[in-house]
Amino acid sequence: MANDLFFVMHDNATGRMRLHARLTGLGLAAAVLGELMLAGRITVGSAAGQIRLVVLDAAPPQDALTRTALGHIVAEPAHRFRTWLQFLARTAVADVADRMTADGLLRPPGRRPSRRRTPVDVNVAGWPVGRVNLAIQRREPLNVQDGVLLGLLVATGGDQLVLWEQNPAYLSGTVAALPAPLQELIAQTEAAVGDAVITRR
Amino acid sequence: MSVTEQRTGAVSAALAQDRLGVPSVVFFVISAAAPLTVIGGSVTAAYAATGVTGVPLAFILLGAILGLFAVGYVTMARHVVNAGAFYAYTAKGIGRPVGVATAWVALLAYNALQVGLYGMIGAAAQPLIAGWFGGSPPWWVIGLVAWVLTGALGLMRVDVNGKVLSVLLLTEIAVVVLFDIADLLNPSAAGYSLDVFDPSNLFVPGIGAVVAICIASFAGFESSVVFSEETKDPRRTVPIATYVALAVISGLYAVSSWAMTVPIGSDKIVETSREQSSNLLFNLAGQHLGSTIATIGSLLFVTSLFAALIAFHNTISRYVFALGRERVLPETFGRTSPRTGAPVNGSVAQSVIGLATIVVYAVLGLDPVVQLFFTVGSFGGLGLLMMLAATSVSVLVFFSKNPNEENAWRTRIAPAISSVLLLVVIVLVLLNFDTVLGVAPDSPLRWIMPAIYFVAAGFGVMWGLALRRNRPKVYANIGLGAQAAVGGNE
Repeated sequence: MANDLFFVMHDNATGRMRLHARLTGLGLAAAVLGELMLAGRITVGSAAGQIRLVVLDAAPPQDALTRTALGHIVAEPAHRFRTWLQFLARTAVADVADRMTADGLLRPPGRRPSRRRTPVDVNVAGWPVGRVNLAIQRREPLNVQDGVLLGLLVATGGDQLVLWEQNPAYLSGTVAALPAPLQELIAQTEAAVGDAVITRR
Repeated sequence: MSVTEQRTGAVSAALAQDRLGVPSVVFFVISAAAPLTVIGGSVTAAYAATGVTGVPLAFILLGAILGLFAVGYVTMARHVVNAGAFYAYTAKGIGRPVGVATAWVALLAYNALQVGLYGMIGAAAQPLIAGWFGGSPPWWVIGLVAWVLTGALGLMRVDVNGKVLSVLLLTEIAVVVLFDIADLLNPSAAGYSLDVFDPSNLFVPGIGAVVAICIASFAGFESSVVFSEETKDPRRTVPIATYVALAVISGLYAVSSWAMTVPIGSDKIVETSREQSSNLLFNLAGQHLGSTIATIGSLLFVTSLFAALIAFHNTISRYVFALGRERVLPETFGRTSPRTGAPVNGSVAQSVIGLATIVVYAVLGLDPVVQLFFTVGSFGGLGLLMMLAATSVSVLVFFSKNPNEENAWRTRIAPAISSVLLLVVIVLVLLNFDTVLGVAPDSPLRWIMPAIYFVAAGFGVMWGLALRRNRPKVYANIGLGAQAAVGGNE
């Protein structure tokens, strides 16, 4: 899912992200947590008056990125949800790009240190956003993964750039159909994005 | 607390890297107050418009009152989500409808403080431009240029921060201190006099107007608590930074406004301020330090005003954004620009207000310094006082409803004293509002203008009550800012 979100937020023509770096980071961090939730590794719980992440299955996943993230969560379970978003957001863009390069989805970066990454196959890169847009246009329900994708896209404000049609009713219906932990993921992302806008840094 | 919580893990360590210490927070706060703007603009405007010479004493007394206020403010900040906004405190302390009322007052007051600066930057840049090119456009042309730049930077989410801000601020303070020393080394024939610190020169008719413009000079100090989440040790860093910033600001203002009277004589300061207006500080510097230093000072005055314009613009657009996220304002104000992360609609709304003000003042041919900067700025000062008083009362109420381990000085004594003092100050300002506006004592305007705040607060309360009845979910989130998305359950 983080790969899909990366492609949605990514501009193939320029090789850069369409969104502001901090918002991109938070969105991709949330997508990584979303992958762990969808895989049944973590869920949302509350302790000491705080919303936290609860580990359901600590067995290391195959994928290196989610394995590292889960390792941190297992090691330090007492952090708030929002702390995890902030922590993962610091490196999420580079982490997800590295995974996608390793998976052959992005071309390896050249010698020059550059943030530009180009997809190996533009059709693959364009598919997630096309898929979501088509579903909205046809009023077809999204599967859980694409529902989270849409929710995170809206939470970061990226919907204004890539969606053909703004449909608040479709969106709220989609999010309401998601399992509670994933709804919380989207709400926490929206809150973290809001805080990033309000605080100056 | 479990073992894992005590251990400093990789996550905390990584996040701690970009946490702020006391100096950074002090820096942010002082830069929001824009010292040269105050000393070059507000101080001379205060002498000229009120005819009261006790301005330096007013800065000391207000600094002390704000220090008392800050005791409860920083204590309650630990218990408040969205801590940078006064309305979050009143919503949590007195009740959500009062929170909405405070938010409305805040929008009015901050906008007044911001648009007043357009008049001053126009007037301040004119002599510089005239010196370079032999002639200058009217103030409102310069105001419009500043408006375009402010609006554009706001949309691009460019904060004048980091290195540029530090360099500007340090140069500003250096210039102020240098000017002060030069003033003190060149006393008038009358010699040194501490008349301006004599209470009998402050507690005269007009004191309320002095207080209004002086309190406006402190605007921005409340932002220290915004950084609670981002400091190394919120329990210590934020309070210390707040007190240090208040002490530095009020000390600098008091000494500088006194130093200005030394070469002129405290008996002539009012008259001279009326003749020279915002040029006074720089004319004095020109006499004592040469024209080059004076020009550098004037230039920094303009950049200081510009930095203040941007700071207030961003404060307002974030306020509007937070209210949009709570859905207290229409949802569209809670939108961000995806490319820049700017609170785009809040920014545009503030720009519209700025443009409207400049146009009205230009068309009516009103004076940019006295009628825009001083009058509208003091009007903003009154709003700020009302927010401070309401917040101070909220601290009292909050801690009486939620007893905790904090001591009585922080939760009851200091907030009680500051509440009373702030209410007294508000009464003084209201009694002198004819001087603030520069109208005759029997003009109805002196009551109509302050009444705007009460009307705004009244509508705010009604809107809050309407939300409680019609949209309970929105009502529950009042005061939470961006955390409204998760219902304040962090």
